[in-house]
Amino acid sequence: MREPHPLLAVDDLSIDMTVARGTVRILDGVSFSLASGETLGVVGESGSGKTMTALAIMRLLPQPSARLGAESRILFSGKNVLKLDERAMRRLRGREISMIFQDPMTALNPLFTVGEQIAETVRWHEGGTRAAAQARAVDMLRAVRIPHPERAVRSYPHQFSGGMRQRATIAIALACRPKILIADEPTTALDVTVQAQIFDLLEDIQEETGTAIILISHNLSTIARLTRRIMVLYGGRKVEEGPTREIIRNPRHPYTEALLRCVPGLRSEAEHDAELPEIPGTVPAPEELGGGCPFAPRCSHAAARCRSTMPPAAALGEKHKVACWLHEAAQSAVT
Amino acid sequence: MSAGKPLLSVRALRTHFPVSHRARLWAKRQVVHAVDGVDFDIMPGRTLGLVGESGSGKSTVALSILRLVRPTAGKVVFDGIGLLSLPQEEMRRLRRRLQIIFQDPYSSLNPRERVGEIVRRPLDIHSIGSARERSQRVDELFDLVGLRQAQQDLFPHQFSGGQRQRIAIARAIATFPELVVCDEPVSALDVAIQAQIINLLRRLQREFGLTYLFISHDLGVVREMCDSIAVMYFGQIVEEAPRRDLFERPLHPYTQALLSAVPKLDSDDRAPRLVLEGDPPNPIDLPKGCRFASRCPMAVARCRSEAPVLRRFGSHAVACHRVPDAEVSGEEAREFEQTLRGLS
Ligand SMILES: Nc1ncnc2c1ncn2[C@@H]1O[C@H](COP(=O)(O)OP(=O)(O)OP(=O)(O)O)[C@@H](O)[C@H]1O
Ligand SMILES: Nc1ncnc2c1ncn2[C@@H]1O[C@H](COP(=O)(O)OP(=O)(O)OP(=O)(O)O)[C@@H](O)[C@H]1O
Ligand code: SF4
Ligand SMILES: [Mg+2]
Ligand SMILES: [Mg+2]
Repeated sequence: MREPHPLLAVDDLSIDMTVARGTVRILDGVSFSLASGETLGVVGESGSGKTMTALAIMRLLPQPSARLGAESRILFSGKNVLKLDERAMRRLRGREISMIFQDPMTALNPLFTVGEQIAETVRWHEGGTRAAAQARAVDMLRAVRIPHPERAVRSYPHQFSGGMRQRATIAIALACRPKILIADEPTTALDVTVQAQIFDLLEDIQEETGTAIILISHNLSTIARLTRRIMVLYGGRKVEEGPTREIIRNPRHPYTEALLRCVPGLRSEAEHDAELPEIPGTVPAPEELGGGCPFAPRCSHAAARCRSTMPPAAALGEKHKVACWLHEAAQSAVT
Repeated sequence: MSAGKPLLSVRALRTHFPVSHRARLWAKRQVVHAVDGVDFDIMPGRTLGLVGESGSGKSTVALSILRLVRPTAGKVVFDGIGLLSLPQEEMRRLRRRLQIIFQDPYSSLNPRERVGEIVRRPLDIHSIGSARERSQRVDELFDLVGLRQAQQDLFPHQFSGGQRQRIAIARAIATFPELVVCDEPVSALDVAIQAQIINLLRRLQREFGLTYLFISHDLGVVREMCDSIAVMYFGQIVEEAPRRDLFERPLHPYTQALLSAVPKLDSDDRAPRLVLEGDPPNPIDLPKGCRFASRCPMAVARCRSEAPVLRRFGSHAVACHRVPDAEVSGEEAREFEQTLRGLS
């Protein structure tokens, strides 16, 4: 069964950024959708446009340097959020769509207790009494498995460990039970055991509340566990999208394939002495992108056409899409 | 067992930091037990990995070895030379043989210096070669780490994170060091760039016989880089083993939890994971029993009252009451204790 509108539909999203040398297109025609209760993984190398995509949805792009392309639309339950005035947007942010950032300290105010920060978010969006908001703060800290929540609400951020701080930002982000949670590299700065705790926590919360999650990372293996569907960005373009398992087992874009091979630590002992597969070179800066495939300079399959013309998205099966000239034959149902 | 003498031996290393804010003037002076009795050896040309969670004391071990912080007690022996009692001037001269690479390639490079100068600086400090030879060496280093000669005139901010780490590596190996301490050298980098830097470090090791102490909290990275691995928890080594042993037969419950938390690629692979409950101890007020007991799924009463010691069987060592004695050959354990005593 299909909902009349997906919870979120990002349509032809492009972002131009003013830099010293003029204007560069840092995101180019990215489209995707998110159903309620779903978890979508967004993978891509540093600079590929993951954070900018998230900030565009939150309407928090750096101003005035970032401009959206004219055709860009971001539909939340069918309504274009790009058309909302700032007041309506403030109501949406935190209440309907929340975001957690890579560095938990930037999201926490060092001058207020963790409890005050959760309570403030709740009262801003929902009103209610101070006592009710305070009680919600305790509940939220318990929900994110912070020990002794009654005591922890009175702590300041610096009194928390890195893992506890990230859990506190999750508590703030979830305090108003948003429909969408965008998590931008939420565990990159944390230890594996804490990472595992945070991922379990996100899974539990999703099961309990049905919040849809967009999980952003540069490491495919960290998000493979939590997602059913993945979108791969490269150089501001969507290069592949599809079911997680299919992409892990049978990546079709040369970049996705290379990215999967270079994850450290997955090889057998027998392969240990050989070089770790690597992707030569680096992601091109936006101003270095020509009209061709952004991966062409590093791609071992690149032909003349790859360098001159951007390949359109080809559908491989019902849900798997790839933008690569190698899969031209498959181009039928193009979106 | 590898023959020969270790290039680096660390024995009973302790580094405690005073806590600056005393609640009351007359309160007992408090300390953080950042490193609290650490022993290990590294054979020449090999790589020892040091893993453990944030705050477990990995960086403090690195800084203590290089005397960039003052250890409270213990021994650090490099190529037969006791470093901790070495006069300042001799330590300074020895530094050309022991170098360090840090996690953050940006803050470890002077933003106002051209990167060619940055790489050349250690050669100047240690007066290695003539002016011309130093320039040649810098050219050679840029080649080795995969940077172009023309880039020598640029400033650090004009490079990507991975390129900056290449510059830091070039600087670290400029003086032909024997030991390079790598403190999270790839943690700030993207997976794709991580692979490039891991390959570079491994190639340099093969070519120049470098010995590495390699610190990371990422077990995947450690697996690619290291011959053997020591796992730290709150200032102590709880397990040490050759790479294959550690990954295939982890004995300590903390190591088991660490390994089971490593993300697997295939989402079908839902092996039961050991998720840690409970809170880590306060590093200022550590429990008298096992430091892992508050989070350990295996803990019994004895764990809370008595601290387990590191027992060694063959090349595998572990500090846990619950690892059955049967696994430990009494003779090997005694031998190990004797060598320890002999060195301290
Ligand atoms: N304030 C800014 N002004 C100009 N360009 C910017 C600005 N912020 C980001 N960019 C550029 O936009 C592009 C996309 O950046 P974005 O932060 O979305 O990447 P990302 O995929 O989140 O990378 P990372 O993994 O490093 O977080 C990059 O090329 C970046 O250099
Ligand atoms: N200069 C210092 N003064 C006081 N305490 C310190 C100092 N340096 C480190 N510590 C404390 O010593 C302990 C060990 O810190 P260390 O930096 O060695 O950990 P680490 O294992 O390297 O952690 P990470 O993975 O976060 O880098 C921590 O509790 C830390 O707060
Ligand atoms: S000694 Fe006890 S508490 Fe410590 S790791 Fe072993 S079983 Fe767990
Ligand atoms: Mg980002
Ligand atoms: Mg450290």
